[in-house]
Amino acid sequence: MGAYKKELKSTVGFGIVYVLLGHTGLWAILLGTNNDVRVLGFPIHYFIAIILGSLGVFIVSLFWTRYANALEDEIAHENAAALKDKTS
Amino acid sequence: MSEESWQLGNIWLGMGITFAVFALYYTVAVINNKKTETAEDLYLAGRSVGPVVNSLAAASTWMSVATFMGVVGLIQQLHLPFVYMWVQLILSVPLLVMLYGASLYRMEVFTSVHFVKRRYGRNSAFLAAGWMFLIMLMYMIGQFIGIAKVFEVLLGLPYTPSLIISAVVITGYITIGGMKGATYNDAIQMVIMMIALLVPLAAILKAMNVSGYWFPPLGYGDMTDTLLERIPTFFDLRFEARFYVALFVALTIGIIGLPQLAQRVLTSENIKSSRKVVPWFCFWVGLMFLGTYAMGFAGVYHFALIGQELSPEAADKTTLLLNLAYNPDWVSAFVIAGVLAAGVSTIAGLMIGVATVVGHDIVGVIKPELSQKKQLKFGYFALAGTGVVSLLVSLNPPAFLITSIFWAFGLCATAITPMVVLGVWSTRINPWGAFIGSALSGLLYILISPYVLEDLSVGNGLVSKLGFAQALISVPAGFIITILVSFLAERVLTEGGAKARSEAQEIVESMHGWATVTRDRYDSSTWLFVLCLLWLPILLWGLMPW
Repeated sequence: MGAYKKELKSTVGFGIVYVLLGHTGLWAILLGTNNDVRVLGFPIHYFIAIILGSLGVFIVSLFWTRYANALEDEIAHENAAALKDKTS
Repeated sequence: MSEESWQLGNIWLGMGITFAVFALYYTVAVINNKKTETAEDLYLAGRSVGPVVNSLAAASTWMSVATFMGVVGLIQQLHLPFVYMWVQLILSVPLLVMLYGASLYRMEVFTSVHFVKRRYGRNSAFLAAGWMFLIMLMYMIGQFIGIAKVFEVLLGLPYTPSLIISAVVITGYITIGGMKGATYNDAIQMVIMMIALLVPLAAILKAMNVSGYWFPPLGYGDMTDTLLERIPTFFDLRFEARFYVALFVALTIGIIGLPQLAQRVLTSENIKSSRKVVPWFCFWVGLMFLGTYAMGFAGVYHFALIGQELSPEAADKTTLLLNLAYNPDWVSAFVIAGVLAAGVSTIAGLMIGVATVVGHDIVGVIKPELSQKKQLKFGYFALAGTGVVSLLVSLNPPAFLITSIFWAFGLCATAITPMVVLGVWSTRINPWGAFIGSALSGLLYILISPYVLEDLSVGNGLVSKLGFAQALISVPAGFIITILVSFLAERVLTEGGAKARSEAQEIVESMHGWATVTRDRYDSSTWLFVLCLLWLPILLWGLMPW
């Protein structure tokens, strides 16, 4: 897959993941809530909201940064190849 | 609860620590003033900032007075739904950098307005500048008023002198230091904020006999049962699904377009470094947000336990009230330093944002032949002028400017984000679509809000006041109008449309890093039509009565 398609697909993919992590209120509406199911003493829907909205977003950002910076190198390679074709 | 009980027992402690932190900010500003030689230094710190400092500065710009005051109070009033509202604000910088920040960096623009000017021309740039001024002014006035209230309520100083002193002192150090000074000061202020929130919070939780006090962000689960006994509805969702969809439409899409955050990314030393800002930003902001929820939770727990109902004004000061109740005065004085750091760092980002648009973008359009030296001079005037104008407006602000900042996010989602994001990802969006889409949808958002023509206002209560009900109509409208008018212009204005598309192909491909222009990339119309179709049900949902 070329760097262009990778750029489009990764932007849509990471965008969806980010939105899902930051909007767990909709998950709670769909899946329901139960204050008796606890994690670290918190109702699970509250725990999911605060942990995905902080640690979750942080971890995904680490992956995105690595991926996007690697893609930057791939674009540079494709650019070099295209310029070589043009001059030869 | 009387005002006296909100004040520090020893006011000189508060004054002393306030003086000490401002002396530090001025020192940093003066050091950096000597390194400011060009307009790029003044507005973008010479594009020399590394990811850790930049992420701290971006996080600091993002953390406003509300982090210490409004948010904790709102958790007490709205309970869990407010946490859902706040959680998604962390997405600002990740989505901004991913969707357009890195591309703008590559274009070497100074602001989002500068990008709009290059992509769509001067008319759209003036329109974008107008919207951004309104948004940043609303934001800034809120911060100035917040800081003056800290002086007024906590230190017992009268409001108007408090406002004037704080505005003059803040404007002074930002004008002296420019973006370089503001960046390093912002980073310092973020560290002060984290210490001022998390360390005293640990002491408060310990005094409340909470076993996880040693890690405040997640250590307060012990309190859940007692809290549920006193407030059984605390963890209820309370609102229908549409409210939670509106959080995405009004807030997530709104914060992506915030100009002061975009400008932070542009100060990075290189494009890879600008991306590395993202995880660091999420780390600092995530930690602060977790601390804020813990403080809010502790406040609800404390006042539920002693059976005291707080007025909204008193609830705003929960962080300080808890510190005054559980910690010694010198700790509360340090918390005040944290509140001030939160306010001034946000003002710094906003002031530099406004000054760059005025001093660089607008003056650059009117007088493109200005020398580097004169540009720098204009820049300093713009910075000082921004501070003076904000102060004058803050002394007696018109009612429509002191609405919630959440309302301004909705305006940004409507009038700024579509033209910027679509302009980066599609060569088919042209100046006609961008201008008409932004102007019409922005006006629609204002007209159906409760602040101008009450009869036309949609929604009621909180969803209307915060702009959620309006954004559910105006944001889909903004995207749809921008796209459809662009296609219409391309068909009707055959020659002009083709020229605009050709120019867009060159700009858009190069801003994504491509050395050769193929005229195929980012040129599809299909996804734009799919996007319109996806927005349509949201628009119809928004039109239904709340």
